[in-house]
Amino acid sequence: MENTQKKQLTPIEKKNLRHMFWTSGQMWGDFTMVKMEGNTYAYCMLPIINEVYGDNKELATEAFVRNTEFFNTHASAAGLVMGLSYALERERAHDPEAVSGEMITNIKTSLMGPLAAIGDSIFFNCIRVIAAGIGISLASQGNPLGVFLFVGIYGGIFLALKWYLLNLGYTVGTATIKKAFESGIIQTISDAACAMGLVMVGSLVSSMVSISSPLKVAMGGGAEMVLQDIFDGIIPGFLKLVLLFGIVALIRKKWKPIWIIMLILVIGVVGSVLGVF
Amino acid sequence: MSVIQAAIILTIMNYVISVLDNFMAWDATWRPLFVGWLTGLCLGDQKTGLIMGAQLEAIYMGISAIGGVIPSDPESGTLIPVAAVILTHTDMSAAIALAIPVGTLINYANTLCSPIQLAFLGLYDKYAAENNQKAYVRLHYLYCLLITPLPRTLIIFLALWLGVGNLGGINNAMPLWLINGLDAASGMLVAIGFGILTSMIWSKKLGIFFFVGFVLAEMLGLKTIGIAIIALAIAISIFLIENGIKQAAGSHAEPVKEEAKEDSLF
Repeated sequence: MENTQKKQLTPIEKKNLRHMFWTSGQMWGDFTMVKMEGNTYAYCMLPIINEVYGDNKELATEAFVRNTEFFNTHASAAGLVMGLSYALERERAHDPEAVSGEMITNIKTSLMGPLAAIGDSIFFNCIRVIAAGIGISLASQGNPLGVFLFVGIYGGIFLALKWYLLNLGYTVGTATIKKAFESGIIQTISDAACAMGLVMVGSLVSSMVSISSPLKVAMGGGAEMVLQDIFDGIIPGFLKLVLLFGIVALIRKKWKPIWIIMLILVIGVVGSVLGVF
Repeated sequence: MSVIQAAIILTIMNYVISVLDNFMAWDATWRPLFVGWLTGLCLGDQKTGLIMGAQLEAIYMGISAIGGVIPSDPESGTLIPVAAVILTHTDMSAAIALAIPVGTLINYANTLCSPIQLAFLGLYDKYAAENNQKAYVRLHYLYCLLITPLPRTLIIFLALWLGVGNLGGINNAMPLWLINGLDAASGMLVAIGFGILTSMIWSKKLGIFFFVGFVLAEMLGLKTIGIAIIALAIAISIFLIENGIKQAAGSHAEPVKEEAKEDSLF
């Protein structure tokens, strides 16, 4: 992925980017509601601060304190902000008048929200669904390969994307990134990811949800027909769809998952007593 | 294996998972699939762990830590039910039904312990203001290895030791109609995670793709991998088409380069 960058990185820059890559994985280590990922952010930035500010202790301390400020975004998408942050600290070291500390904070803060939104939606609604879908289908047959594939696909894409974005953020600069956000590219990626997620969720509803009923209805003339067969004649797996969209309707009505679970338990037990299931 | 032995083994396992997560932040190793498998492995019943992990992953699929807040903890919500099934032969459906409430309770207990985490937070600001980098880094690792995982580890130990041991009795007292009912319910419970997920990503524009996936699996009987490849192709098509429309609309000559780069991500 590095070779897509035009700029040649020096060994010390590469070393610092590697440091940021690995230490940014520790963002949950001191995650609190006060600073969220802020305290780890400063730790990731330490070698950068030492490199760009060198002996200028005053600016270095200012940058150190500034980087402990509140920060929170998706842990993989954070790579873009960190790379950008590296480039900005370097600019500030060259010309502290032109690039103020506030300006760097503002750029960080303005990227946090959109990156969290796109990161959460791509990872939780798309990549995780696909990785888990593959993992679930193998693991439910007792095959441990499902677990390794899940961690490999989901964790692997997480790390690869972080590394890519980190390098991208450092090399392309603020203007290009702003332009990309304004061009609507984020919406396009999000649409594509949502479609992919929806296909996977649809297939998983079919393979994972099980609901069946032996209920029979009299068809007249002594003939009986299993109710479920009639439904399945309309579209196979009809009951699964009814169940799923029933749940979706409840969620839209702001039901908490725990209440839906209770409801399903009651339906299951009452239904089994009445012979519906 | 006695309950206390198992509790100690699983507590150590839980600590390892917490630390692994604190060093990777990748959301992969605290998910039910991984935790279920590892719990099964530690207790000598890999298969149960895998099967339950798969079902619980489906339930937890829609539940994510958006903005750092999560309604039910997937890690303990998997560890404790799987341990209960393997150690006390609790009915699997009953254990799965209990998973989300257990995860929520553990979450509450964890939140109660958060003052411990907040207590040393002021030190970060102090060390930063002094530009004392060594002390700052030391404090950071103290958090990663001890302060953050410790309260949770103790809670899990107590839950396993005091809670799981008593589940066996309850299980023996369950009548057949209740077990049948829970069985039927557990097949439907997995729909909750999918329901949450569907309600989050559903849009009028894209909703039809849900049915594409459903039909591919239900009517054509395709395997998950095959469907994933078709899904990827659909995603790429949507990206190229929408992108093409935007380019044709003109006015975005510059971002084209960016788009080509972003394209290589998927």
